[in-house]
Amino acid sequence: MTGSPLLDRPGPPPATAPALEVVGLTKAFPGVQALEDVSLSVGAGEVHALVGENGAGKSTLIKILAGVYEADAGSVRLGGRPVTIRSVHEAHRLGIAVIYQEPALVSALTVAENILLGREPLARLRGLVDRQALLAEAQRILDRLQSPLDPRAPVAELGISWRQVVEIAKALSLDARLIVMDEPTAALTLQETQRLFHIVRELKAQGRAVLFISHTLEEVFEIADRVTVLRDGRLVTTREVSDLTRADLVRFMIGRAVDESGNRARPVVGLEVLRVSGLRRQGVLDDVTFTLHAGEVLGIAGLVGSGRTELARALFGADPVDSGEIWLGGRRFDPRSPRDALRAGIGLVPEDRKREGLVELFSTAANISLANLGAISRFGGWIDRPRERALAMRLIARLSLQPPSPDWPVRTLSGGNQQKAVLARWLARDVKALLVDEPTRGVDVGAKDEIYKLMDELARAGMAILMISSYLPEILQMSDRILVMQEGRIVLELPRSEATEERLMEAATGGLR
Amino acid sequence: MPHPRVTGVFRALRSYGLLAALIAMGLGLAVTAPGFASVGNGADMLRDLAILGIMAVGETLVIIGGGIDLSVGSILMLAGILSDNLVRGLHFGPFVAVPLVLAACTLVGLINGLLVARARIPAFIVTLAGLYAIRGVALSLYRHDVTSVADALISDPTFLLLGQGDVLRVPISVLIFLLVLGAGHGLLRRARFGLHLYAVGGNELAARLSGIDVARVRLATFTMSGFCAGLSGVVLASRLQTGAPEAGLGAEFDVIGAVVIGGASLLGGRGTLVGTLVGAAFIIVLGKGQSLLGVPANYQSFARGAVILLAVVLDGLAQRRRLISRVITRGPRTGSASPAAASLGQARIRP
Repeated sequence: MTGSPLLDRPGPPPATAPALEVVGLTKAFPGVQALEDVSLSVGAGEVHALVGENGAGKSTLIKILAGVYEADAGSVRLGGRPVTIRSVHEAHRLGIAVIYQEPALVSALTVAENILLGREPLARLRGLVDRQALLAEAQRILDRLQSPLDPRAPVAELGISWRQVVEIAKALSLDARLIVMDEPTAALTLQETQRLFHIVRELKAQGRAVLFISHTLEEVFEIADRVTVLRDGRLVTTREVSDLTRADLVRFMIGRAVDESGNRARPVVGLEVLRVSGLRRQGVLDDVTFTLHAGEVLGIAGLVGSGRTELARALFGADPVDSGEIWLGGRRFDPRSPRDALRAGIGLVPEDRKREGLVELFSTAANISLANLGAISRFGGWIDRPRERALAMRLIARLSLQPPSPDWPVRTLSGGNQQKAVLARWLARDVKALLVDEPTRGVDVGAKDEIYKLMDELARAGMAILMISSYLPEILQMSDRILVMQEGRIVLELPRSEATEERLMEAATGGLR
Repeated sequence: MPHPRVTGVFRALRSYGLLAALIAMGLGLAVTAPGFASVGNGADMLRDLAILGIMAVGETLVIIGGGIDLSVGSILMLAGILSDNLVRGLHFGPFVAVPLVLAACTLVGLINGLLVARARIPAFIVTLAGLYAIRGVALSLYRHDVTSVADALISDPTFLLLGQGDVLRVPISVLIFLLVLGAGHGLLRRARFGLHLYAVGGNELAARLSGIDVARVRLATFTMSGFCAGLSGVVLASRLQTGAPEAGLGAEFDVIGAVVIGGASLLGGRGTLVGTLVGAAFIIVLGKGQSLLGVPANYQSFARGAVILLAVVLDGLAQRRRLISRVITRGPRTGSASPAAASLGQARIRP
């Protein structure tokens, strides 16, 4: 359903025009082509699923529809009429409602106040809210959803699934013709998901268009009429769901041939360094058990929110666990803080390096020093500046970090070089086990390869590396062994030789449930 | 499937607990402190309360919006000196002078608001700078040219009614305070503005995504705080019959203390004017009682600090209890207790 040139002219929209039509949408961020010439359409009364791996461009597309980003090129039509969405406010006015993964509600206010926030019915006296009308209107919307939620309940007292209902009611109150749901089920239980689907079917019956983003393929098959697959910012295909099998969909999502040549599987694996047994944390980790050996890269695949990052944080002592045991080098290890973990020889390269990995205002040298103050201090706490510089220079040279000076604020470094600065910190220490979370996110291709090389070097030198990644080719290329996590559990363990992207994706999206 | 019901027991307990503590303290002082229970002392404390309370109303609005206003003491002083200059020095009638002074102080609040909301400078910095700068302006306006003893004090009888007059034995300043308090309470509870203010302070992103003009809401709170501090300064000048350069020194801390004791969160999104009223009364009664008991100043200051800390700690405990009870009782009652909801509750319990 690509747009005919006729539609660009002003005039009454054709009766058959789809509720949403996106043509040739393109958006680039510095260094990344987030979307390239993507077109799709959603009809009134259609539930249209949008799927793709992390980084495929789904979020960018949604944010353009929501008025958060502006597209570089391409057009959006609603009911056949071309529109420009410059702000969130304008998106609302045009009848587009976006329900985000994390409900954006005000805890201090009630359900009714949240539903109609910014559009409260006013009393005759200007400026005052007509409480009666507010409650009645909210109740009317909740009734339409057949939800038992009390409009007077404070949102602070609601769990996440009820908050989703409030978000949906909010979308309905906008009288939105297009409702975009960004992974609405990510935080829901199966039962809650069913309740949400019931509501989605209601919306569909009312003739609204629903664009449904999901990582869970079962959901796509259950709820969607059609599905559009994005990969690396490009449109792969749009199909009727009834024409597809699960395997087809996985293939479309992965698409590319796996590059075997880059595999760096290491021949020798050493002694056990880390043993994790029955690690649990309610709602986050569920009976996680595995071992990690010296000289091995253990890849952990899984979707965002499957518990991978939480596992790394637990091992690093950053999050507490409810039960389970961790053994490090044959000794019981119970990290209560990152300090404990560091002393015991565990390093973490976090997922969000800007927020958790680096002090952006500090220089490269200072950032390296942070975890190594013992090595560069004298007389109980005075930093030996020449020693600090020497250490930084040595590591900068070893990692070929650009610019090759210890004095630049880390903020000014490129993503790849920032990541090297984080790695450099652990190189300076005697780290036995390194936890690496999304090591190449936001890193350009050249630096990516250097980071791979570096991790390979470290493993060959006997370090045990646990690598979390959403990028399957990276997992396949770097790992000796692969674990797949889903909903806090390890659902699959494979040696590298038996792993394929299809098997990993299948396990990560719940195919093994 | 009913939604989880809200008992609000702990919330009520907290506000009533504070009130109960206030009453207990009052009764204790009535017995122990000489002259505390007298009519004269009661009226005196009410007048003190009015001056602190009027400022605290504006401050509460700012704090609910997630801001802070450190400049209220200096604005109070500015208002006093301007009143003194206009009424005593230039012999302006109060019906001209008071609106002029209030307009000037509102303008100062507006400037604070513009710097915070539009220029996006942190409120703490803007109003800390304001604290010094406004005091400087006020001092340079202060007139020392007293020619006779009679001339040293404001004597306009109408102006003096504001801080000293009574209506049916109720001080006029207290009536002014009640008026401001009532207006503020209505604004928070009934008006669209109040809803938006809680939204802005509680979750700025959600407010923005709901189409609320966040900057305008913030701007309004600082402007109103400027007005309130100005009004408070006029009443104080009327009561003291002079605009003194030392008036309002450190007043911002009593004001913020009152708001915080009253249960508002410095992170924004939480707070009520009823709470602020009780918090302000707490500070006044505590201070007055100790003075009457002859408690040395160092102990008084310590007690005030301890009360602020205690109130916030107890508040935190009450919040925590509420969350725990919610998580525990949720499951059987709603039949929808999800692990996600439970872990959410726990995650928030952890400090």
